[in-house]
Amino acid sequence: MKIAFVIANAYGMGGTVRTVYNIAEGLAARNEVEVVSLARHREEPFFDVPPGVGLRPLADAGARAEQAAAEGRAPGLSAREQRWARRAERIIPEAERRRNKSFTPPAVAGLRRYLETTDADVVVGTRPGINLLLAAWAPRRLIAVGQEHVNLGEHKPEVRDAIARLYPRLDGTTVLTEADRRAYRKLLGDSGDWQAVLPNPLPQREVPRSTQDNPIIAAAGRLSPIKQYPKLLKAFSAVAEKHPDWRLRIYGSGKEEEKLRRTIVEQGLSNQVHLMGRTKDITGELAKASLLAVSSRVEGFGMTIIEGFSVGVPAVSFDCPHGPREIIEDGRNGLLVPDQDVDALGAALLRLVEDRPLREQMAAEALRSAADYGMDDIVRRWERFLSGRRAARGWGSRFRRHFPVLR
Amino acid sequence: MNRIDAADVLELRIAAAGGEPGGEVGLALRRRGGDGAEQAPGTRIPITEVRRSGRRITAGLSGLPIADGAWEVLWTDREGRSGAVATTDPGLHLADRFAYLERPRRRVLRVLRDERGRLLLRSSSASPYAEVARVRLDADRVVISGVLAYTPDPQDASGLLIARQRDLDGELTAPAELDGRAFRCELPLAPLAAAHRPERPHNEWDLWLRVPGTGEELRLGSRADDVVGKKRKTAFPEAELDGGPARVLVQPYYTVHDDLSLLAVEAGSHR
Repeated sequence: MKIAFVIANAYGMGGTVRTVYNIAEGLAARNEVEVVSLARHREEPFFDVPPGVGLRPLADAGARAEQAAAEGRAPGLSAREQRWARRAERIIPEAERRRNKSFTPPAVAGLRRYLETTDADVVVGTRPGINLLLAAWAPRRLIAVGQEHVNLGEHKPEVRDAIARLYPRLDGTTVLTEADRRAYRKLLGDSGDWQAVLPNPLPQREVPRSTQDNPIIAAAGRLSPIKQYPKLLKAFSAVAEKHPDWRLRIYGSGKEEEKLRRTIVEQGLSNQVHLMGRTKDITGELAKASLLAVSSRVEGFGMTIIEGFSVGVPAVSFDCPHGPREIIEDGRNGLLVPDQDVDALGAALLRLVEDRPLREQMAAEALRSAADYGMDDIVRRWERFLSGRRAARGWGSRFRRHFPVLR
Repeated sequence: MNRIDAADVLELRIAAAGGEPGGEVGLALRRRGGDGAEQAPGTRIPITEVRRSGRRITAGLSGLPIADGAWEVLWTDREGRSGAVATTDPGLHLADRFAYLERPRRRVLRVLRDERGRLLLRSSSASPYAEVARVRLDADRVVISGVLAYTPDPQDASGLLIARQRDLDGELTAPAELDGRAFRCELPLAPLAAAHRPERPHNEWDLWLRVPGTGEELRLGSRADDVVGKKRKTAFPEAELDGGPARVLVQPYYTVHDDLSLLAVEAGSHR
């Protein structure tokens, strides 16, 4: 089977790019896989394109596009292509176009042309704007699948409306969590096999193993309000005071850095907290720790928790929507505390800091849990889902033939 | 598992069903490129003192001419074959790192794991210094504690903290207490504010410890763990003091070399 993943910008460094490259690598073992990028703003992609996976950019973006125009290398759009670009504007809600700048006229025209000419069997969109274009434009011979990386509840109302209207025209959709599947069921009714829960897999490589020796608690993710690191600092101070040798390491970068520095000082944690910045080897860093802490308001999936599990590091997390409660089994591979209860988070961290045997037991369970997210398993689930969708030739594609929208 | 003990003995535990050669096995080091040291990339050093008992292998590294930089640890066998040693050890054992500080030495060996899972040895020249464990800033003083690193055991229970105004002539001292290899000192900040020189917008005060019987003066710093670049990774409070004509703000910080210094600026000026 030839599978094409369409990404807004496969040259960038976001979480979607990383996880799509990852699953593309896994699928490439038994399938032909191509990554199609609406935009290309630099010569080489930030992440290495996995071996055996093709990369096809559709349009230049940013300074690259300006340079091409200045050098007269940017061909103008034909009247037909301009019409497609205008139609795309009506298909993709403004909120989505504002959020992602890759839906330029050359890019959407390029996608339209790609859909008409590709020899792929399956095309997978990776964000709402792309999924909506696939729903409207994918020819019937193509199996069009919408992959969602963001929970339905996190989308703007106008994006949700467009999803409700157009997603049924897709041959299938995938979400990361059971919680998101329930949200879709509420919006679209029971769609049976049309939608599958397919979590992000762990990259297929040898990872180290925590020794549970180091007095280190790790946290990872962008320094942004949604991660609520000030709450984690407050929770950690319960540990810091009683155990001066314990450290908290926060991996990530972002706009909240200065605010976090102030909070570290206010909480008297200067000697015990390190803002580690970004790392290319997150599992290598997590393995140096003995615990992972999660203090998010919302955790769409919880990849860091799974990465921690894969190196034998149990997690302590708020029971926040959506991912943590589907990954962490309270008392087995980590601790879930009442959502947004900072004292409970501090007490749970302290409990595991002080109980090494329990921590080691949970670390062993965490390793077992990580196996559920192994590449082989998730790739097989993807293959089963895609073959199922091909066999069903579901009502999505019939819909697309009988009720063309804005073609 | 792999670690280096205080006597520079590398210890490896090999996996039960690993693909490594069985029977007689040797180890060697191979220089990694890129560090621009005197030994060319690819230079090999055989490790002669290798002992194996079951799954435990020990290798004495203390006498080997291992130049500064990164070295790959290789398996070798009698037929001259060799290969990289793969490891699942994360390459950080904080307790070992602190134990390693307790002996005099000029060369520091550390094992680490690279992104691709290979066992590396990093060698670096080192001087005795004072490893900082805690810094506490009060309204009128800074209190610093830690342990002596790479020095002989101190002869005395008292030492001296010296703060030197960088590129200027100011020098302040305060007594330091020693308890075994642990030190603790308090530096009052009023004299530092009084010595502030406004013509230099940043007055950096570098901190040193003088301990009888340990030879040279010891720079205060934090290098025992694996966090390199603490300047941007840590956040310290600041104290506001009366510096005569102006208010002076004093803040501890780590330099680009992870040494501990104090920064004094006039209140209202930009850092």
